[in-house]
Amino acid sequence: MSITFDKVDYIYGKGTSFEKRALKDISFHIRDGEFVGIIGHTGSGKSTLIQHMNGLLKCTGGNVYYDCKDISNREYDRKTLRQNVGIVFQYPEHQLFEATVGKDVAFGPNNLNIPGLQADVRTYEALKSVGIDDSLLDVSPFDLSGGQKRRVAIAGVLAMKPKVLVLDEPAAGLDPVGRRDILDMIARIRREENITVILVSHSMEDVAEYVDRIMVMNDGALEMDGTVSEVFARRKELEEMGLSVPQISLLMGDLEDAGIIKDTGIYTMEEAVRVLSQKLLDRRGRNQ
Amino acid sequence: MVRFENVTFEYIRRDEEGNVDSITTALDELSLHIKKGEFIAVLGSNGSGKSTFARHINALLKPTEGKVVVAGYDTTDDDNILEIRQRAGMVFQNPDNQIVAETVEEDVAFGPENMGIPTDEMQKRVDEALKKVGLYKKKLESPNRLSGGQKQRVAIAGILAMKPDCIIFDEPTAMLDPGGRRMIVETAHELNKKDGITIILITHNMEETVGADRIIVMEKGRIALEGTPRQVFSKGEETLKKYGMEVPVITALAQKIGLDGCILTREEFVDAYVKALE
Ligand SMILES: Nc1ncnc2c1ncn2[C@@H]1O[C@H](COP(=O)(O)OP(=O)(O)O)[C@@H](O)[C@H]1O
Ligand SMILES: Nc1ncnc2c1ncn2[C@@H]1O[C@H](COP(=O)(O)OP(=O)(O)O)[C@@H](O)[C@H]1O
Ligand SMILES: [Mg+2]
Ligand SMILES: [Mg+2]
Repeated sequence: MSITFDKVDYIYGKGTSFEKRALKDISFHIRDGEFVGIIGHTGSGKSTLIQHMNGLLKCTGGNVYYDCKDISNREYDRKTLRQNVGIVFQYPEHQLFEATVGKDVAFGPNNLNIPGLQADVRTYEALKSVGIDDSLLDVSPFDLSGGQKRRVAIAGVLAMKPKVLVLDEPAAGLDPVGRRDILDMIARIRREENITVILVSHSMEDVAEYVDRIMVMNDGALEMDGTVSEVFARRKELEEMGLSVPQISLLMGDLEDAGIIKDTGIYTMEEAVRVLSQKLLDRRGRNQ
Repeated sequence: MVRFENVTFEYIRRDEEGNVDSITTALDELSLHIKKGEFIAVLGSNGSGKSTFARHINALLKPTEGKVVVAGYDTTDDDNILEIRQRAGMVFQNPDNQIVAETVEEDVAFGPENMGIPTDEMQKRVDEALKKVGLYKKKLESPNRLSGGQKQRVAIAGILAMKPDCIIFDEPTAMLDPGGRRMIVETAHELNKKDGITIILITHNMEETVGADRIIVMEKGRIALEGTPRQVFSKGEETLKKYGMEVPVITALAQKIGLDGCILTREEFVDAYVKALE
């Protein structure tokens, strides 16, 4: 499904003395199947933005469209919207509540009145795709490790078979190996299921490695929207917004300042290894 | 400053009748000595026992077996608890759970107030602490209006106002944006260098540990690896992976293109690369 925001505004506590304009005139279009990263300082509006994606919050100005259909339309089927757009909130494991892993994952499908057998199949499939073994189906989620709980929570959203998957810091608090596992898993699910994925993250490294396009939120406004290299080329502005660029970009910048390489716009490990090893090889060739 | 002697800690879960349901050994005969003024980074996979370790330092938990001594005070002796809590403060992961008062200033005063510090002395301490973390101008504001990084710095100021010898940070940057992260790690280093405060920083971010004097890697309640950042990160990717870790990005890149030595910082990288090109 493609998503279009057209001049979306959102004000918390409208008409009260606590009024807070959390989204300011946000417009963008996300094509079906894109992998988009959202970055922004705390309080920049990321969580508010993603809650507009499945109608949990209704914009106070502007419009949100899925496949060109306005979701604020009276005829728009909101229940299907919730099903199609799965949101994994921050620390989703805090919301596990059923007595067993199986019941927790099946909660969504059961709520949709999906017949028992089909719901079971979805539960199995979802758990399989997050790498949780069948043997854990009847275990209490509270007996699992932190990383496993997180996977079960994500499986609960996947069991709804969403066409758009939105994740708010899915790797927060995990150790580096767990972090990589979760992000690899999300990238794989995206490939296999052909779905649109939107990843909110505070890690510039993760965004650089996984997504194709970055949207930068700043004080409620969509400050930048472009390819990873376009966005990370604007280091000064990002730093002023409390953000950063990946370590690799910083290093390439240092090498450039030292007059060793030319402006490369490189931000991934792979590219850096390629360019820097090539230069070493060239030099050795000349020395021989 | 902090001494662990053969410390074992068990979480014991009981069913409704009070029978033991399960036992998790979170610390397993752990021994460790942290010197005054050291900056220690603690790494290790989720569930390896880092938080349990941290909570023993300010007597939130007490050893099942063995002994923890902080600034000369044994944590098992209840009479020592106030002394220990004043000397060893703890900053947690979630900035929102640590706010207790209506204004920044009151929040910072909460700890010393409970210690019975006289009012004028307290005001002095609060002001000093807020200046140190760069939030003096916000002292009359509501903490709820601050960013995550600022809230963490309010928590740090609250500890500073107690004039601690040691601050334990339990994944303080996990929920922060890059700017907030940078600020917290810089503050920790500054307190260590300028005020000689012993720092124990638990983190999953490898980049945050390269400035530490010593890294401790935990696994299953024990110390699996220990040494300077250079010693630990030169163990190589495969070893570190076993403990849920990675090498820092810059170190990994240097290793991949075959630069000699274990390179930790961007400056070291540029120097080594220039040499390699000569
Ligand atoms: N329920 C709420 N009521 C009032 N203000 C809110 C609420 N939730 C968020 N805000 C405010 O809206 C702004 C954007 O918040 P949020 O979307 O949570 O940002 P982010 O996810 O980028 O940290 C912030 O200023 C925040 O304080
Ligand atoms: N309150 C608790 N009750 C029972 N077990 C616990 C509790 N807290 C932690 N544990 C267990 O103790 C071990 C160590 O946990 P912890 O110290 O939190 O590790 P870390 O901080 O390294 O992630 C884990 O196996 C964890 O599941
Ligand atoms: Mg948020
Ligand atoms: Mg912990």
